Amino acid sequence: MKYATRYILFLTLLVLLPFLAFVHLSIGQVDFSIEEFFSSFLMSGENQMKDIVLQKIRIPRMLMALLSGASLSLAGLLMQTLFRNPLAGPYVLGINSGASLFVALSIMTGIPFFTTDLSLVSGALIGAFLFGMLVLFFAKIVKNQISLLLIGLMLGSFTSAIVAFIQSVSPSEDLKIFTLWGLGSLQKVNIEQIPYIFMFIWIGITSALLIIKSLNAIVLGEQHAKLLGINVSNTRFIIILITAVLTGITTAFCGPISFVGLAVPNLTRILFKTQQHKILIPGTLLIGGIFILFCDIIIKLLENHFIIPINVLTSLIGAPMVIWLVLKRLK
Amino acid sequence: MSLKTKDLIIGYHSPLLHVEDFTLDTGNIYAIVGRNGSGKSTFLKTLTKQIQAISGNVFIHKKAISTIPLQNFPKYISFVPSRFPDTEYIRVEEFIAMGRNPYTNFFGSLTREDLKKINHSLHLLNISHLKGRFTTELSDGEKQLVAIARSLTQSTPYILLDEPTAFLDYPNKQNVFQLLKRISIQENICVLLSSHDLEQVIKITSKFLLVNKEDKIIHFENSIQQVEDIVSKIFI
Amino acid sequence: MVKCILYLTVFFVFSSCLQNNKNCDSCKLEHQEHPDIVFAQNFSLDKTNESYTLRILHPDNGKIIETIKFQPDSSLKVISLISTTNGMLSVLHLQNNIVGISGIDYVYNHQIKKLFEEKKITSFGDESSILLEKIIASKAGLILYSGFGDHFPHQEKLEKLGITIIPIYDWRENHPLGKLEWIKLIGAIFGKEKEAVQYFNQTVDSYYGLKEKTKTISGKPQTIAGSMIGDTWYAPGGDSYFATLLKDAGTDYVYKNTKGTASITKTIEEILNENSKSEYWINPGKPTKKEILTFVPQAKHLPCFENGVYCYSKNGQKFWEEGIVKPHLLLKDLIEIFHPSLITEEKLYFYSKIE
Repeated sequence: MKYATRYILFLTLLVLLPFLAFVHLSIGQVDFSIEEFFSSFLMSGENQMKDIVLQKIRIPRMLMALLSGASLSLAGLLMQTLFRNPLAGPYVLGINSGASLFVALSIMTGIPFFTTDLSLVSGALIGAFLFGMLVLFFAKIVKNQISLLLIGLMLGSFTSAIVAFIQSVSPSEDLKIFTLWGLGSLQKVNIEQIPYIFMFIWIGITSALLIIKSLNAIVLGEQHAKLLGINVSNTRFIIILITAVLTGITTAFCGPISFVGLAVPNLTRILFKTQQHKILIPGTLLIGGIFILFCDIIIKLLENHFIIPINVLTSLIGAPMVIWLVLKRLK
Repeated sequence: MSLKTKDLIIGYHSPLLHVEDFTLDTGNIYAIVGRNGSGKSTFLKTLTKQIQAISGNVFIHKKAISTIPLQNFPKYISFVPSRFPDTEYIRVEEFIAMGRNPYTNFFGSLTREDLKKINHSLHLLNISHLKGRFTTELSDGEKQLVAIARSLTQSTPYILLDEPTAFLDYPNKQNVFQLLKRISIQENICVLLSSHDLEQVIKITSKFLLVNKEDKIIHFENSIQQVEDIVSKIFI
Repeated sequence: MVKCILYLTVFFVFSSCLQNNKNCDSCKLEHQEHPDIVFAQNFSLDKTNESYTLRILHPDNGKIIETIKFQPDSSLKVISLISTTNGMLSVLHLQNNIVGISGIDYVYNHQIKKLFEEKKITSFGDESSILLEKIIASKAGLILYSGFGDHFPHQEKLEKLGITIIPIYDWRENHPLGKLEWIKLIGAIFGKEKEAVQYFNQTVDSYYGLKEKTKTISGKPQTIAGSMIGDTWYAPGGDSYFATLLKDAGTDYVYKNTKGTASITKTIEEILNENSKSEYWINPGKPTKKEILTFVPQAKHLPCFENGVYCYSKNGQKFWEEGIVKPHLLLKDLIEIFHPSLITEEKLYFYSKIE
């Protein structure tokens, strides 16, 4: 019976995802007839401009929505598993802040190391990883989960203060770049960059799938995992590494997108009612993609009136969801 | 088949207790008794490689446990911690199946053999009816049985339990002790448990490890008379 | 502060205004009341004997927001926090009256730079973080800052100390000559009204002289202006000063029919859809194509991106400081871009082609 529900759920998600992707592609200011849409989709449209709009603007945005949603959600799932805390996530634990700090450094200071073309990406990756290790270090010292979350939030506040300081002494041009980056955008990615982003995320997903056995044991806590023969410290390191790659790559290209990593894995667990990562990982990826796709559809629908940055909308939807989760837990 | 200690000194970072050399044999139940905080948990954790001994060695089948790789160790000794994990959305059979972790492949897929072991444990502990329930929905007594079932599924010659009855009411305590007695004989397993329920423990075993905190020593005893004497001295 | 910067950018890049509802009838009305002010709409200046009454008018509804009385004083010390007033002060050779600027990075005028090096001019930073005591120590009698509808920090205290504070709303004028006309106010303050009026009239003549040239042209190339900030493309509104410049330069600004002086917002899809025929792209806000693409990766799909992108960004400080006082050169540049045959001069003054 429970397996039947699981199949139905997966089937629903697998239908919903391409459906929403199609809806997402079909919304915009340029009107397409059905024929035009499909001929443009196959790059054989007679209207060159429409080909460009679909191929170079709508498709990369749609793909980026899927990729960022999937990768941030998976990162959140891994964090929650590692810290055995449903309120953990790259954002809450300050891993995003690490990425932000290093992006701020790379944009606003002249440190030569950061001034390459890949500065944003490398900055975000390094920042995410260093802060991941920092959180891990604190997690070893404090056993209490609430304390860990507080430390994560403090890390966040501390880095925002440093970022604010860097901002206050930076030229306005750099400041503008950083401020815009901070709002988050799914539209800054070229179709040519998508394969690289996909590759990074694919590495993250594959690595996560390769440690399923450890993940399933680590959910029970460090002691249990060790008793079952899992090399916990290795696993922790790998989890932080994967999270850093997933968070870093998305954050670099889309800016910080908050609450997705926190809300989606919880939603997945509630829907599938399991801790089996062979279910949770694909479930989280699908729901994560759908979540951002859905958010961006809302943004697209409102675009004619006002433009909401993606980070604003995910927070608007995600934050109440988290409060609801906490309340549900208290019951 | 035996578990031996040699010149073992245990403790967290600094020596806490000296352990007189002893041997544990399969098919028997042993109990380690002592006051709260006397070092029973430290002792059990040392035997299960969760903490390192200050000096000396523990041997399983003549192999020093320090030489057994981490991923193989759970094939020798299983351990039931005093607390059951409070993780949500884990079903009883999934929890028990994790006992097969040391044997399963890279992805942790269960073979027919594994499933047989799981069902066997469920059956042995009379908890087949709990299949399909979430562990968070179980009573404390049921949780303890599920935890023991996982240890059994691990197919180890030794099962160590840290205060298995601490959170249980009287009938459940009795039930757990009886089941442990039964499986030690039926499955030819060595069970070592810590407890301060002396009255109950005496009913199932006469082989004791006594923690004498004053003399900083763990001491093996197998005559009931002696045990009662020393225990009364320890607990006063 | 960040918001402020964004706000500034949005408005400075395109120098347009938020919902300026005034129509031309009311312009005329004002011209009659204040015959000295011809193009500017956001202030009036009345002279009685030797003293002036300045009224700052709200750019949205024309209501008086501030009335300031002053007497001309050629030795008045001024803190000039915006590039445009620096430009006006320079034109009137008043650099020696400046004691404070916002930051040396934004300065183009060599004289001001020299005075800054000699420590006769100090930097006061952003107005949001300005130090009260530093102002007092500078002995300035006047502060010129960019009006955003907010009062200047510590305004009351400063006024009690006899310091005059004037918000400058040139950036919300809808004609390039209206922006320039604020120079009359600057002239009046320092007793150089005559020079200011003379400069203004000369510039008006040059401007119209250039505009006349475009009457002979046959085709008007379609043009897009502005750029993306975040996910939004901001383009000058149809009634903005920049739209006026584009029109006067003999080009067909693609959003010329939009209402208001405010920047209009577009999504990238709309921009691509509506600009497949645009031949020029003015003011992308970046000095190289590479930089444009990091901000607006989709820009490469604009047909005019290949060969028709022009911006002032290589001469940023010059543009911000002198653009206001040399609108005729701005117009000259634009005509030269769109109709090279009309201008014999070879070099563009503010603009350069983006490669």
